[in-house]
Amino acid sequence: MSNDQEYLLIDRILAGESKLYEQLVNRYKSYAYTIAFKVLQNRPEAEECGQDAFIKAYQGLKGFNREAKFSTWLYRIAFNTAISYRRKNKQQFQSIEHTIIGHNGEGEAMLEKTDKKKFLDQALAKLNEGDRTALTLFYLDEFSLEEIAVITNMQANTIKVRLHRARLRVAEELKTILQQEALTL
Amino acid sequence: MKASGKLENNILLYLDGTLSGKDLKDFEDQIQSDNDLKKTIENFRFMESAFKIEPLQQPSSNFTSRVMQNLENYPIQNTSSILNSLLLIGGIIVLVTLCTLLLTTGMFDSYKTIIDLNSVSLVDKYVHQSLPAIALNGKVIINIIIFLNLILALIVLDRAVLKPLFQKRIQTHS
Repeated sequence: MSNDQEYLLIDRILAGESKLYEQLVNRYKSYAYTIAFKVLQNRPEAEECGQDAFIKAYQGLKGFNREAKFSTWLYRIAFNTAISYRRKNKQQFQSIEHTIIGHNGEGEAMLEKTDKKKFLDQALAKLNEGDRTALTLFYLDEFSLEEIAVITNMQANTIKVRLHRARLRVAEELKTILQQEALTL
Repeated sequence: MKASGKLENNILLYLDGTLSGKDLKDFEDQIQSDNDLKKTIENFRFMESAFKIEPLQQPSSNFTSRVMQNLENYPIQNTSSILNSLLLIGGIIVLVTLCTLLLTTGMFDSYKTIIDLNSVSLVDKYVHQSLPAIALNGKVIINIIIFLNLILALIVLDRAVLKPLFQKRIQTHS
């Protein structure tokens, strides 16, 4: 769907065809949820936050000025919603992700994948939510640096440096984690 | 893996495939001759491959239906109306201030008139009794205009500014 087609769809939603919003939800829910999850590190919370972000976007659809892509605008809402969820629930929730990911794969390859993912999540947990989200979006290979900056409320001229540092930091953390894992074997 | 800034930069450029020509050749030679650097690159590759595993998280299967169910409770807000309302209130305040200033200078004191209802031809036609004459002065009319404007400003402030703001706050806290 091109930007113009998306704008037409938005026009129809604004004109009262609210059912069409389902198309936008289906199209962008994985990304919005991923952004919320990267900030919150908790699946049930990310689910609720993702839904909340879509509802906020719907409510504010008239305010979408079409200077950026709808997706960028929506992901920024998802990021900001997740940040406010995190602030609100910091005391209530504790990250349980690391305990959820277990060695439940059948083959060795699956185990390796699960381990890799677990180690990466541990390393990413050391970053702040903005850098963690920016890095995830960077590796999705679908966002320009400018878009990542808009979504994560960072300055366009600093995003490159932030990503650079975040990559180095994660690599460093991974190295430490892998060394510790090797010692426990 | 503590590498210098330039080396760190080269590692990332190399991984991103943006090193080329002589720089690329030199860096590849450096990797071959430096075991620590080789390990660092491996470590980075490990990180990149980990990012490629399930890069997108998937929400639950009823995610969309739950959003759609909730839409009815949260209608689209007319975001521009708050701004428009504030502009309208600003206009009313300017008008009221001007009128009040003119009133205090006594500008409308001299505007006085009497409306004699008996001189209206329609009244003559349908009413066969003597009607009273109504005395009007500019000061009273301007005071009424100011009063009506203030009421209008309060209604606009309540309906179009305060109510949406408080509703938004309630939704944020719920």
